[in-house]
Amino acid sequence: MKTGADCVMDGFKRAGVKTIFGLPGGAVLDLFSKLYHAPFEFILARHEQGAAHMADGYARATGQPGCCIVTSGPGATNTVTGLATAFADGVPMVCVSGQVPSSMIGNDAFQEADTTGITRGITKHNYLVARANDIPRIMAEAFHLAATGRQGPVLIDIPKDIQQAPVTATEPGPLHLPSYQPADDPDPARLQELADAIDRSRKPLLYVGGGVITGNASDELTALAHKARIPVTTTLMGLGAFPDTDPLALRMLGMHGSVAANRAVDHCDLLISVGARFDDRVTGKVSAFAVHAKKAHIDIDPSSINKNVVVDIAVVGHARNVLRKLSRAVKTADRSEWLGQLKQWQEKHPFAYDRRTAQVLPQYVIEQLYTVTGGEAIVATDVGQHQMWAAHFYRYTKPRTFLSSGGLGTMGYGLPAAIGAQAGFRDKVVVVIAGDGSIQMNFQELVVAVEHELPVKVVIINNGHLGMVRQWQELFYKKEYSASVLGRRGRTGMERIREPDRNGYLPDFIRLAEAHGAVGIRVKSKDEVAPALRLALETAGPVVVECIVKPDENVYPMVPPGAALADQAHGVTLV
Amino acid sequence: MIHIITALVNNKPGVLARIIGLISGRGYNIESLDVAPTPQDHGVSRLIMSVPGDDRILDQVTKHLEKLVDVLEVTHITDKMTEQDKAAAKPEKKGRT
Repeated sequence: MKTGADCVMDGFKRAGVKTIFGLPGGAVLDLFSKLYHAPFEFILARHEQGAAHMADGYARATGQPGCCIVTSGPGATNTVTGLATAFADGVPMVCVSGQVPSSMIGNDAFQEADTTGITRGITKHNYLVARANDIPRIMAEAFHLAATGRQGPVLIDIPKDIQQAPVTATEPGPLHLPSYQPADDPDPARLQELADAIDRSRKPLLYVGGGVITGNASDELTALAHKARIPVTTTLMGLGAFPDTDPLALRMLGMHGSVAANRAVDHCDLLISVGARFDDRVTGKVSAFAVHAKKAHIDIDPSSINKNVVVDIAVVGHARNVLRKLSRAVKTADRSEWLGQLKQWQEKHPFAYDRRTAQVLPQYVIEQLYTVTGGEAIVATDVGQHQMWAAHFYRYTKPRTFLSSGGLGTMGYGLPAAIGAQAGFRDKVVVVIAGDGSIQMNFQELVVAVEHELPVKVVIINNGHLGMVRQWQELFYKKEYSASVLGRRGRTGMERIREPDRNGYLPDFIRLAEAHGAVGIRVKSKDEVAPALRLALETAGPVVVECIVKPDENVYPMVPPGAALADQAHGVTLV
Repeated sequence: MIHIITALVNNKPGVLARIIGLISGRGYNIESLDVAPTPQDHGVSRLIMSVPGDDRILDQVTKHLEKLVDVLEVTHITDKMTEQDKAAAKPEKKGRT
C-alpha cells in the first residue's frame, strides 16, 4: 500500500524531476527513506538556504522547476530567504517541507514553525496537507503553478503522520484550477494597435525584462528587433535575452545602466516593454520616466500592467506568442537616424574604467574573465558592486547564462546558485562572481561542489569592504563608513575592534577554499589575473580565485536615488 | 474614500489569511469584513470587506487579489458610485484583460 511519502516521490517523477536538493531532519525521515531508493540525484546542501538557492540556480539555468526537500521548524525557516529570492524574480520552484504530526500542530511542538503562515507572502502559493489522499493532486498542482503564468516558488508543508499514512487514491486526476488561467494568446485588436504604433514610430525602443527569458522567447524577440530595426535595452533580469554583442543592443538601463540605454528611454517616441515590470531601479523618478514616449506593455501577468507606470497599449499574453505574432504584423523600417544617434552615444559613453592604472580594478578582472571564457560561461553573481560590473563588463549572448538575485538582492546567492546550475549542466563552464562580503554568507556550500564534482569557478572580487554600501556612504552619507569595512585596518570606532597585528584580509580565502577541498589561487597584480583565470578553467574541480582589488572603486554610471534617468552621473572615467 | 471589495473565494483554510495579508501587507486597514459560504455551493464563500484608502493603490490590490489561485472573482466598488452603478457592477472574470 502506498503512503503519502510514496506519492510525493511519484509526484516528482510525474513532473520529470531529475535532481533534488535539500537536507534531512526528523520531520522528513519518511521522505528521505523513500528518496534512498528513488531514481533522482539528491544533492545534500549544508544549509537549507543553500539548498533553496541551488534549486533556484538550477531552475534559472535549465528552465525546469527547481526542487528541494527540507525538514520542519528551522529547516523550513532557513529556506525563507531562498523562497523570497525566487518569488521576487519569478523563478519556478517546488519546495517540500516536513511538518510536525497533525495532532501536534499549534502546540509549540519540537521543531514546529508556522511554515505556511511564514511563507504565505513569499510564495506564489503554498499548501498545508491535511489528508494523504490530497498529495497526488497537490504535487501536480504545485508543479503547474510553479511553471506557468508568472512563475514562482510553491511550498508544500506535509505533516509527518500524513507522510506515513496510507493513500487509497494515488492518481492525481485532471487538473482543476478554474480560477487560474494564465494568459496565452493576445487580444488581436491590442496586438494590431501595437504593430501599427511600431510602424508609425520613428524612435522605438524595446525594454526587455526577465519575462522574455522565463518565457523562452529570445528568438522571437531577436526576430522582431531585427525585422523592425528596433534597438533593445534589457534590465538586469533580462541580460542574455538579446545578445549583448548585437549592433542593436544598448545593454542594461536604469540606476547603473548605460548612458545610451537611459538616453534612449528619454528620447524614444515608443517604449515597448516586454516581460519587465517598470521596477524602481529602472525608472528612477517615475514622473520623469519616458515622458515623451507612447508606452506599450506586453506581459503575461495583468496585475503588472499599470502598476508603477501607466501605459497606452496593454497586451496581455505569453511573450513567445505575442512577439511571434507581432513580428508577422510589423513592417521592416529604416531607422538609421535614430540608430545613428544611439550609436554616437554608445561610442562616446561606453562602460569604462581607468585602464592605465597599475592597480587591479574589479572591472578589469571581469573583462579578463569574459575574454578567458570566450563569453560562453554561465555566470552567477552575488549582490553589490561586483554584480553591476558583471552586468557591464561581461557580454551575455544567450538566455539563462546570467543568474543573479535582482528583485530581492540576496547576498549569498551566487555560490549555491552556481552549484545548482552546474548540477543541471555538468559539461558547461559555470562561474561565480562574488564580493568578499557576499561569499562569506554561504561559503559552506563549497564542500557540496567538491563532493559532487561540480567544478564551479569562484572569482572573489576582494576589496575589503561591503562595496555598494561603502559607495553610498561615500556619496550620500558624509563618507561615514559605518560597518562597511571588512577584515583589515581602517574600521571606525563604533565597532570597537582592536586593530590586529596582521596586515592581511580576513578570512584567508585561499586557506578557506583549501579547507573545503577546493583549489585556491590569490591574485595581487594585474598581470596575474588572466593566467590565474585560465589556470582555474584548466584545473579539474572547484577553484576559488581571490583577486585583491582597489578598495574604493565606484560603480558608474549611476542615477542617484529619486533622480530622473537624465540626471545620471557618468563618473570620472578614463578609457 | 471607502473601498468595498467583494470576492468569491474557495472555502478552505489559509485563503482568508492570504487575502488579508495582501491588504494589510500594504499598510491598509480592513475596517469591516464578512465571509460566509454561498448557499449554492458550500465549497465557495463570498467575502465582503471595506477598506479606506487611496484609489490607485486599492485598484492595484484588487488586481493582485485576482491573481490568487483560490480567488474566483473580485469586484471593487467605491462609495463614489451611485446605487445604480453598484448594482450594475459586474464581477471581473479572470483570464480576460
